[in-house]
Amino acid sequence: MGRVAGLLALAMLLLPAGVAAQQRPAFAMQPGRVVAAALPASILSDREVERRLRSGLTATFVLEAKQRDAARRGASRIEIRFDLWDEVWIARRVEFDGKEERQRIATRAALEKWWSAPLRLFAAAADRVALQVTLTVLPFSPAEGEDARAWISKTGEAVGEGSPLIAAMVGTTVSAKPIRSYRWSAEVAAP
Amino acid sequence: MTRILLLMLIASSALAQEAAPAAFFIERIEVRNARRVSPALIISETLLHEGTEVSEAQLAAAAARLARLPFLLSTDFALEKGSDRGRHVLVINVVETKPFFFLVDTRPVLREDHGPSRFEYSDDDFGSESKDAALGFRWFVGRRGIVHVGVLSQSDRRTFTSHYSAVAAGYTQYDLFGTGAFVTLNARLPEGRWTEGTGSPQLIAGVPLSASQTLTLDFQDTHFRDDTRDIAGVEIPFRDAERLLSLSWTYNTTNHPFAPTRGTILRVTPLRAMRDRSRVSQVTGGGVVPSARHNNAWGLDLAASRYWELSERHAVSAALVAGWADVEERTVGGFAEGVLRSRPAYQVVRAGYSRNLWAGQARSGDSRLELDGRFMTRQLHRDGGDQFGDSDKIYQASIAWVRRSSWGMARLGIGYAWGE
Repeated sequence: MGRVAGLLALAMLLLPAGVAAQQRPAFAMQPGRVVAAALPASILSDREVERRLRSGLTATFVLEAKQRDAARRGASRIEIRFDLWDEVWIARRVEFDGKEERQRIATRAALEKWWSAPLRLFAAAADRVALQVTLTVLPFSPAEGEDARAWISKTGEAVGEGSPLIAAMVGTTVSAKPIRSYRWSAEVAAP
Repeated sequence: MTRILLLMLIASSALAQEAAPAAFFIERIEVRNARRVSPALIISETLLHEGTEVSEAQLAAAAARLARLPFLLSTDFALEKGSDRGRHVLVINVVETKPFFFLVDTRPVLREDHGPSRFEYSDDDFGSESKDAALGFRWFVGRRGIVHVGVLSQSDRRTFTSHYSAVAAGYTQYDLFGTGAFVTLNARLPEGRWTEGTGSPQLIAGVPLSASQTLTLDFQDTHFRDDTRDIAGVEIPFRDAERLLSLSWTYNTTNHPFAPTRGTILRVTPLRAMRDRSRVSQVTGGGVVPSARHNNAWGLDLAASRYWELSERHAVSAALVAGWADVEERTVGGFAEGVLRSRPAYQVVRAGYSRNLWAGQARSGDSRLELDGRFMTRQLHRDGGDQFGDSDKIYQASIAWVRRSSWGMARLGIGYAWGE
């Protein structure tokens, strides 16, 4: 009995660390000094995120990276909508360089696999880079933000990047309150 | 070969469907968790209609419209399967505010620009579209009506209109004739004149042109004073009344009725103001000399504000507010008889930063710290005369704490203004 209680206590002690570890993406530097993030599936299981994913409306995930000791930035975006009648996930990802991919995904397991595939979000200038990364979960598709896109395009130079960054960041300019947001620090080095 | 072509056709059709913006046929709209607010009123405010196809952009605009209503604290949209394939039920979950409400915006500003140092209260009109009362109570009646009583405050940057508080009771009818338009009728008693019964009616009528654009007509007939006094055996009427008629076009995509962090507000307001005052201009050896003054003014106010949410915590904003007017002041009786024309104007440029202090659920409200810097100029040109001495340049910095809950909104802060 004492042993069971001890194991339970140990499990309770380790549980928060385990949950926190699951919430953290894995960052890696790909060839060409491109930083990619593999997002944990646990984000999709968050109560508020899950509720949105089941709403039949689009949930938009905007992943932004900012170099800690420089003004370089990059951003990527994922949009997911569950089609209530076809019972498929309609997913789209826009990477930092504007590369776009659309998928119809039949199962939750396949969605989680697709979700956790590395998402390219930042072009580093050196083999080692320290990043501040934020993930913002927004209701609705950023397609509504066409006016915001036009607005930001005019100030694109101030952001320091071209139109792909603007395309990815438009998700943060729509007039909706974020459902959730996450923040991580990461040190990424070339293999 | 035919099979391959068919498969390619189906695949390309599916891809085209995915590339197109999502649109949903809404067969029914259902409002959940509404206890005091009528579901019909909420549905009418979305400007969505059952039996039509709507895009996500329209749903997002509808959600933003509801987010700006002062009597809803938060809303959440979701779809459910309808009666047949391709049909949906739009479910709107709402969190209501309490029937008792307050809107306290108290930011004394220490002014050391011109004249002696003094405190004045900031009269903001940057981010708030709400004309809600400072304190009051509202009842929802019928399917689309609200009765309200409260104390409201009338304040603006114009030099030729009155600033005052009033007790008000009124009724608002939403979704007039199914058009989404609303009408508010208010009976007001300006401060200090409550016992005289100088009732002052107000009519506000608004028509939504789209989910983010509204045309609003505001007519106010305000009686500050209406009595007679016996001075040296002569009955002298003492009257002071003001009529304001304005028509505003507003484009609003912000996410909050009082302290937005995202979106844009553009407002253009042409207005007509008239004021009549009668009193004794002087008492001479020969008796009293009554005088009357009539003001006629045409004006134009412009407001443009933009809010950017940099992250969940930080938001910045920029705004420009300006107004111009042409005022004719006609005096009859007394020494100052004649006509005086003037053209007052003001311009304000503002930059703001706000930080989220709220860690709780959005449905429990929010709380922010606001820092605000602004540059203001005012001019008053008089025909046939030189520029009036009150033309000035003022700089102002302020800090405020904002809290919105189901009970209302409070903005408490302090500011400092200095000028040339």
